[in-house]
Amino acid sequence: MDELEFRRQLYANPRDRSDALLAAIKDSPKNQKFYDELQQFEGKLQRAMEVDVPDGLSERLRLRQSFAAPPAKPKRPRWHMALAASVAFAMGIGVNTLNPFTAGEPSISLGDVALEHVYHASPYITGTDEQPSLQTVNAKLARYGEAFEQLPGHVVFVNHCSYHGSPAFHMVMRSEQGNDVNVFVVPQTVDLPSSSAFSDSKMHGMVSQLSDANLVIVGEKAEPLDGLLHKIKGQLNQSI
Amino acid sequence: MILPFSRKKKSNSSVNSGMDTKQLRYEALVQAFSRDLYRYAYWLCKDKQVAEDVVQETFLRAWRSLDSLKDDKAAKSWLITILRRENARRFERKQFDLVDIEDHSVADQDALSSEQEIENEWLRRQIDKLSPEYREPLLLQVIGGFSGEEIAELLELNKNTVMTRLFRARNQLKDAFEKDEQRGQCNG
Repeated sequence: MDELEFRRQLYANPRDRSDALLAAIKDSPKNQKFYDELQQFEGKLQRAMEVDVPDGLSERLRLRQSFAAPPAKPKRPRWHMALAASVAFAMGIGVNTLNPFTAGEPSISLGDVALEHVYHASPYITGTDEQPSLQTVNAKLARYGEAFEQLPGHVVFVNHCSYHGSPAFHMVMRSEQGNDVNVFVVPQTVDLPSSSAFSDSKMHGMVSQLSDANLVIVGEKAEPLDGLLHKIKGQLNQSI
Repeated sequence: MILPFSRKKKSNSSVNSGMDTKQLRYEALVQAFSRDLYRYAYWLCKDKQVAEDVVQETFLRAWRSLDSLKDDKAAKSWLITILRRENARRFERKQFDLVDIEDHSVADQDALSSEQEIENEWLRRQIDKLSPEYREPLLLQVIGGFSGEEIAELLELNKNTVMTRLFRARNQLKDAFEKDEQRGQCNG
């Protein structure tokens, strides 16, 4: 193997340990020197590429998945809808956004998905207060084309969530009454029928249009949502 | 607000054990690959928060389609494929500011104390200066530990092209490094 070929092969793969390569190292002190230098450089390269991984990453990945995992088989008929939504989640975004049959499912509305999500997520969120900063909230919100000027109240939790199989922004706020209010920013690619207000036996919610997304808020029946909806919209800077 | 999701434990045991296996597989994937995936994502988008978001999306998609992963030996390249698609979607959305590495230092400025760390930071800037078609195969080889064939498959290139790009990437970095060393010696 000539020197040029030797260098070419080593540059392409410094971990190459082929017989031809090892023979070339043995044959020539110059090759040996080049090989040693390159191994040293490779160590430096690897150290430079191995940037610090944030603490708690794997725990957050497990937490996120626990939200996406479908709940156990529902017992009451009321939960058929929840199951349908979970199946839609499980099928994944690729299918959901591209397939007109699932995307336009007439029996599930934007509000239904919000209610289902709130019921499913609440065991994991109730009682938490992570006090995310404005910066953290806006970092999540940015991909939905929105940003807050200021936090619209006491935020206890924020993350991306799976909304009818599509990523959406999910934030939980503690209301003045001390109850959790769930706020979603759902991209308009989630094409579900919606009405400005929805409810079931325990919860109610409101939907309001933003420039590229829908704002959905859900609270308990007794929770007044009008004021909060107005406040949230007031703090949203939609020019981004 | 907490609802009884799991009342029918007995009748669901087979479903549950299927779920448990899936759960175990998922957790093993997180354990084994999340760090490398984060690093790879970081180099693709050069922003810690965005990198974590991309990794979150990647693992969520992986969870949803975990049943389609038949061969656990292929797990890493399967995850990388999902991550690359997720990153491409992020570009399609074009809804956030791209952060320039000059403004957004890789390491914390406070941590730049030892010679080693200064060297790391310098090299990171050089890696960042590589054109993406050279940088990506290099990242896959060094962080991912993939072979030339595997990189070729992941990037949908032929193997010779990959090997040439790897050669050029390292050549470029090593040249820059040697020039910098010489300059350092002159200055010193």
